[in-house]
Amino acid sequence: MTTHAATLDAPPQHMGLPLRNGKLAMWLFLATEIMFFSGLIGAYIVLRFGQPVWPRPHDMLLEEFLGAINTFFLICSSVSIVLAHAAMLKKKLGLALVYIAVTLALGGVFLLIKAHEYTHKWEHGIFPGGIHESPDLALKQAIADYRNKLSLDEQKTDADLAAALALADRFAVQEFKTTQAQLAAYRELQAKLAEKHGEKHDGHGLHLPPVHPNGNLWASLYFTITGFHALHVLGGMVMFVVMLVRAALGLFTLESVYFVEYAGLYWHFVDIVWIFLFPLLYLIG
Amino acid sequence: MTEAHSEQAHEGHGTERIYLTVFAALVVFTGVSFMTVNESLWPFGPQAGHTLVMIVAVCKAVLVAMFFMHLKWDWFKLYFMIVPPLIMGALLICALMPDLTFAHSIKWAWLPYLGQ
Repeated sequence: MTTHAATLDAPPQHMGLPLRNGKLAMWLFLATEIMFFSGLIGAYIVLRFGQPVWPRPHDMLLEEFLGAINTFFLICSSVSIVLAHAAMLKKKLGLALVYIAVTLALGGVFLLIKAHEYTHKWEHGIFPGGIHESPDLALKQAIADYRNKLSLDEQKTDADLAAALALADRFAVQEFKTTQAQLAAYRELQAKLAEKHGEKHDGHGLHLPPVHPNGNLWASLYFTITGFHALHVLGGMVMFVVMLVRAALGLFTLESVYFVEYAGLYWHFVDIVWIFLFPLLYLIG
Repeated sequence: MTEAHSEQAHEGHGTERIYLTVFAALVVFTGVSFMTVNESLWPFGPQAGHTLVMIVAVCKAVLVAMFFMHLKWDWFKLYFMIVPPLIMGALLICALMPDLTFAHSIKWAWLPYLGQ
């Protein structure tokens, strides 16, 4: 009984790790983040390589150049935040604040480029549920739109347009054995129509939208993964804004060096995630 | 060694030079990855290109983790927290592999029964 009471009263043992609690907590949080992004990237790998047909990056308006530029900006921001930490350890508070502001600006540029990419895709109908995956359905929709437009304009089809529509109708009722053959026939029809009407008469001709099998699955994965990554970038930027506001209020001192270190750890992790997303989405596709 | 001593050790002389060297390596690696999508600069085909960009990505991640996240100095204090999620993440993808391997055969298995 006495021994038991003595055990309860004993002071708690220290873990023995020569680490600050804040750093330990940040690494614990990053461990959960590793699992979170492993799940997302793992889902992408399995869904992407499990499909017989997958959209190419260019089909989905992904430009490698923009991806590479964004990678460059994130790498620069990683360097600037680690230099801010080094400056604080050397008691150069002003220099550290400049580096933090640079990091914030680079994160902002990254998000602006991402916003440009999202907008561009949205304008071209590249979003979950907005992509035509089947040539049959895309063609039927295009024919219906075109007939509707003709009746609204009170115009009649000329011989070429009638022939094009007849061709399209024949195509629409054809049965194709595989998606590849269907796609090839659809693209051939697109080329024929473009040749027949040309750009000049495009407004009056039958417009066939692009068809991308599994395009909606691609869009769901792309927007989910890059969206969560962008939210993480935004979260890091909020931390940098807090630092700068505290500095403006005179509350950010050399004692805040650990805050910079922990925010830096988080920011580097966000950088590492993008290091894997860039080749997976933009280069391998 | 306490954490303060550890920091002094790796934030000593020439730290900025190490960071800038790592930065240069990261930029070169990104350039190499970007090069593989240009057929005139990369004549070895897409498969070799894809393998290279993934190897380069791993190298870049290791550089960032080692030098920018200070794992070169802190690894033995933190490995117990970093290694398990990495193993679990790899296991997660491995566990899903059968789905990937049999996807093609499963996907079209119902076709012969269509219309019956």
